[in-house]
Amino acid sequence: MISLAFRNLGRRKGRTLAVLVSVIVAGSLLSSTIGIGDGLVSTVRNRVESARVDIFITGGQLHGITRGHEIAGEIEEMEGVNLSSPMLFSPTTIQVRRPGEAGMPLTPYPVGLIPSRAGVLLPGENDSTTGWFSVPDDPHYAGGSYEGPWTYEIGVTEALARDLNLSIGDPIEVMVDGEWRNFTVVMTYRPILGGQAFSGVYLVFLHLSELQTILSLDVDPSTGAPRDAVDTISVSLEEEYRMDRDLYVSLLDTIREEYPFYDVESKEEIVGEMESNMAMASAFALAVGSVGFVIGALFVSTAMLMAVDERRGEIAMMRAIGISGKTIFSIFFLEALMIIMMGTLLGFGVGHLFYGFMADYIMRSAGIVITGYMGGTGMMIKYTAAALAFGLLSSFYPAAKASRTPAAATLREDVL
Amino acid sequence: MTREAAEKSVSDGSNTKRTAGTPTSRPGGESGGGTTPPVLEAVEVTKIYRMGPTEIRALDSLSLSIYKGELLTVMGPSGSGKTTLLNVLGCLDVPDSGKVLLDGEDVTRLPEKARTRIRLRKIGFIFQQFYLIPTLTALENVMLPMLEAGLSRKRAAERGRSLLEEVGMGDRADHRPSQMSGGEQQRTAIARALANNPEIILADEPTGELDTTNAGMVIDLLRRLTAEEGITVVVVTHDPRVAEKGTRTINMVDGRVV
Ligand SMILES: Nc1ncnc2c1ncn2[C@@H]1O[C@H](COP(=O)(O)OP(=O)(O)O)[C@@H](O)[C@H]1O
Ligand SMILES: [Mg+2]
Repeated sequence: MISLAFRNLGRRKGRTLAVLVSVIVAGSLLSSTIGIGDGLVSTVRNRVESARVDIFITGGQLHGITRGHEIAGEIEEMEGVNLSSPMLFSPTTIQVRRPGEAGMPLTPYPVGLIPSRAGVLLPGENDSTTGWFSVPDDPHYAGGSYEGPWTYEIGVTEALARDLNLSIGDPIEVMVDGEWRNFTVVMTYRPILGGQAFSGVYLVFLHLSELQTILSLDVDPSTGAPRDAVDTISVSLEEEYRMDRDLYVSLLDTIREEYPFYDVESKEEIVGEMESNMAMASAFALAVGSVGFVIGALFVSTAMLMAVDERRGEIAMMRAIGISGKTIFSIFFLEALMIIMMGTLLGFGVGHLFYGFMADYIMRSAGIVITGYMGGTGMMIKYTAAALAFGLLSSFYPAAKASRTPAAATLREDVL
Repeated sequence: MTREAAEKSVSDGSNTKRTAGTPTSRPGGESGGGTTPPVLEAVEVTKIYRMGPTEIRALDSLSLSIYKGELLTVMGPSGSGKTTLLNVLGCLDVPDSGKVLLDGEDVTRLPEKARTRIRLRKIGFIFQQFYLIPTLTALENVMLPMLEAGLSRKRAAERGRSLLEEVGMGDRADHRPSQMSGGEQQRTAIARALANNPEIILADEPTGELDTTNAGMVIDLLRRLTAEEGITVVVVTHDPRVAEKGTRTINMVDGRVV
């Protein structure tokens, strides 16, 4: 029976191929969106959890926290706080190039940090860094005057190092105030995707105050007063405070009282919130993928209905010679299921490519490096379940229709 | 039924070789003392098709007894109800009134599943346009009903080959229908009809699309089955040369036997 179903697929090769392609497209859409969705959720959670951030402060908008250095310093003075790290993430790129080389400069996304503080906050990512900043503090800040010395230190992603043919210790030029300035590469960084280097992503890491100056976030241009804008302040607590719920909560409350205009969140809140955001994003992605799959399923059922119609005479003959409705059902069901199985399998492979593109896009646009959840157990279960559900739905009706073909009347029609 | 039982029943059938009863050449079974009951009997069968307001009596209180080993030929003008009669006799269609007795059992009241099983095991159908499955080889087409009956692939293949041998298609077992002539396709269809050792073969204009030579081969084959294996055959035909090979001929007009 399996070979019968298989050979029947060969009858209309063009149509079988078209259906197969549609299932592949649908399957790849679905698998990649499930993969991305799951990847987002777990990546964000892992990131927050593995980083030793216990309290997270944000300003509610881009570069929404002012007095970043000062506030971080104030918080670090509080009882129970181990480290407090201001960071700046820019959605606008800066320009870099090999020294003296004219032509198109590269445009990486910059991240500003204070090296002595960022290290503990990003432990999960230390595995993928080589080298580190030699000046741990942020001297250019100089108490808010932004007149301290520049370190001219920069960390770059491996993709950028490769494309500019740079290694640690090499000079690199960065555009500051319309002029090319000489920096030194002190670190390379490899974003990871599914265990593979995430090629093609350009990120650079700079001392916070130097980046603030490059992006004109250091002082207010009109008044000349310090602005010191950052995006986040991550706080890590001493062991005692982290473990004791009451101490933790009271510290959280103190910070909230002290900085009422900012969002102060505990680790659990961040994880919860990010997860619900990401869950929504992944649900949306899944919905998009599912629409693709439903269309694929409609393709399959339409093609199968056509096949049932074309082979009515044959079906009626089989019914006449005593082949049961059940057998007829299985023949057509199997035929559809075979296409769906092949398509979803291949779709999974193609989905891997889509996943790569999407992950790359998310990396570039949102700065989130999704680590490989394509092919994770949860993802596989969801994909298989979805593929089976749609497969069964799309093959059931045509197969049932075939099994209900009235033998005598159909044979008669066929003769006429 | 279990697979073993199915295999057994098929092999039992072939062992007895249906030599028990001598083919009756005359209806009524009046020969030699005891009366043999008919294998297949239609009693006052009426089948009506309604197309809007008009009513077509495809079968009109038709009664007919068919005896073991007969080669009954059915003639009559187009639209006289021949196909309907075969369908009703073959458990493919139910009459509006009347009974069809197969081995003395009224099959008209059986549920569809039971009638499907009867078609599979007791009846062989042969159609005018052969109706082989184009993607299967001759052998696979013949194996199909056997596999449905629960025979193992191996046994079905063995029996399939010997049946193809019997209809003179032994050397074409692995050919697809498209690679065969009409006569060869019809002989394959006969082999398929014989697959589960049926008591009765119902053939609706089996020679309608064949040339004289091939038609002759097919009817001779059917004749041999009645004579040698005691199978009962009903053949609907327009061809008087086919009809005269039968042991008995009936004529139908307007759903009745005349
Ligand atoms: N499914 C059907 N619907 C309506 N009329 C039918 C149907 N089947 C058969 N008939 C009518 O019943 C009559 C007998 O048909 P049929 O048994 O096919 O005749 P034959 O085989 O002798 O040509 C014809 O008038 C035919 O039109
Ligand atoms: Mg007819």
